[in-house]
Amino acid sequence: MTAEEPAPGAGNPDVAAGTPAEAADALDYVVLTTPEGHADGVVRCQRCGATEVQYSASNGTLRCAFCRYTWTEQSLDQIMGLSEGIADLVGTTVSSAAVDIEAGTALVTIKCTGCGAEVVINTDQNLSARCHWCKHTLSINNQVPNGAVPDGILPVSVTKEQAMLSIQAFVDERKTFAHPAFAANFKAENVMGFYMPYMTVDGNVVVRLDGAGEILRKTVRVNDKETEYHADEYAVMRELSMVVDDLIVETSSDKVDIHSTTSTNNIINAVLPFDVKNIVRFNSNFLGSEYTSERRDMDVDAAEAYAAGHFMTLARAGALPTLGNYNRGVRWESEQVSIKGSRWVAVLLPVWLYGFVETRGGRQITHYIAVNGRTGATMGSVPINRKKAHLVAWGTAAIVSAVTWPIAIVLLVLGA
Amino acid sequence: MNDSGDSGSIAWFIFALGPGTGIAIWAWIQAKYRNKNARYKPESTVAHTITSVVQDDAFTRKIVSRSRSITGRNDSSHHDRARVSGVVRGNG
Repeated sequence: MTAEEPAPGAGNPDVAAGTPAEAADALDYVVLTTPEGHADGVVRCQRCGATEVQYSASNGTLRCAFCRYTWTEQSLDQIMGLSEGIADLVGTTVSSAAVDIEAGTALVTIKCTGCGAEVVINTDQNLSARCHWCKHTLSINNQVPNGAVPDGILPVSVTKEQAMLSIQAFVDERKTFAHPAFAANFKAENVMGFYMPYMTVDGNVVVRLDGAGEILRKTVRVNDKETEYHADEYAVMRELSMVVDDLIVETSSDKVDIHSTTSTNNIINAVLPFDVKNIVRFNSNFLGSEYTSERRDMDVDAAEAYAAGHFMTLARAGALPTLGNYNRGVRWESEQVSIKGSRWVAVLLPVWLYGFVETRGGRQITHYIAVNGRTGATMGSVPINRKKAHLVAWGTAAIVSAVTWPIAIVLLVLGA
Repeated sequence: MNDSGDSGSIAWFIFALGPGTGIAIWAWIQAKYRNKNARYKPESTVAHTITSVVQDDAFTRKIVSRSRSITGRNDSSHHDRARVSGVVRGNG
């Protein structure tokens, strides 16, 4: 099947234009069934049957609070074979949790298997709750068609204390010109553990790049100031076949635009990548009460343009070593990615996040400092004390100019 | 002629030192505090294998330019999309 449509994110430099939006309806998907998780409702300890199950970030295991038995979930990569057969992918394959979202199903009712009561969970905010009658911990582990439950989760391994230290160190290096309100209110302990929705994407793709390249043949000095460059111009074409394993694409429409003018989403984007090979089958006990999660609100259809942009980026980097002859450079004018096959899996990945809202000129900008919940990679945007920054930058400029301009004037006078 | 030209160039360079220092400090503060260019770099972090590369280059013309490099050079700007970009699903 071949289709070409106008871009959904025209003007966004990360989005490949011309995604086949209409071609991406659910009927074209091959659904890769995620192995059944625990039944919705009570999740019991595998040894004693208690429902007081907690996740230990420092050990990376689930632990029964009653009998202290510890265990972890199976690797999603192994049980679904996600590292295999990428070169043979044809068409669009999506996992059970990556199928299109059905709207209006944020509230889910689950029956407590302890006492039979019906408990409502708002999956926009929680994937577990307590039965108000028998106090059993209830959870949703099997997919509901609203994007709330993913196939897999990468349990957080960076503890809150480690995240606080990273964020504190990041801010300490940026104290001098920090916005006064930020400096006054900053408290590292306000960092929040948060699971963001992503999809991992495997791709069997062909990328064609077309443009112009120039090879310098000679230079001619025209006068004291100008030089002419004589060159041969070539039409340059590169076509790269690629197999891509575990590209990561955001699937929260609120966070996917890294060029947002109201939110420093690029900071969250910059703490990628994650060790996605270690993703395990989803179990809501990994979230516990300390971490929140966000519901996926983008389908494969919407995320595909971002993945295609990344495929092009990979191809552009891959083509660079073949351009050595073009010593005046190459101008790529056209790029086209042909997605022969792709495989999409919905996952939750852990991020520690600190947010601060700056109001400037009636406009609000949310600044984030983010810590990758697995690797500890830290990135942030600290709002600037602009008055102080202006004073230092232009004050220094004035002082340097006060010394250098008289010298320059003397030189000009003497030269004339 | 050459001497006066050289001293003129040096004079203008010294003129620009002051404002240049200010601009450099401002740019450094922006880069250090705001990290606007920070982003995911799949080209260096995502496992990928290039299984084949087809090259087809053809001479088009001789040119004379006053610029050191080709206009609109973007061969090292992997994250910037070309003027025309498209996605095709399938073998097209």
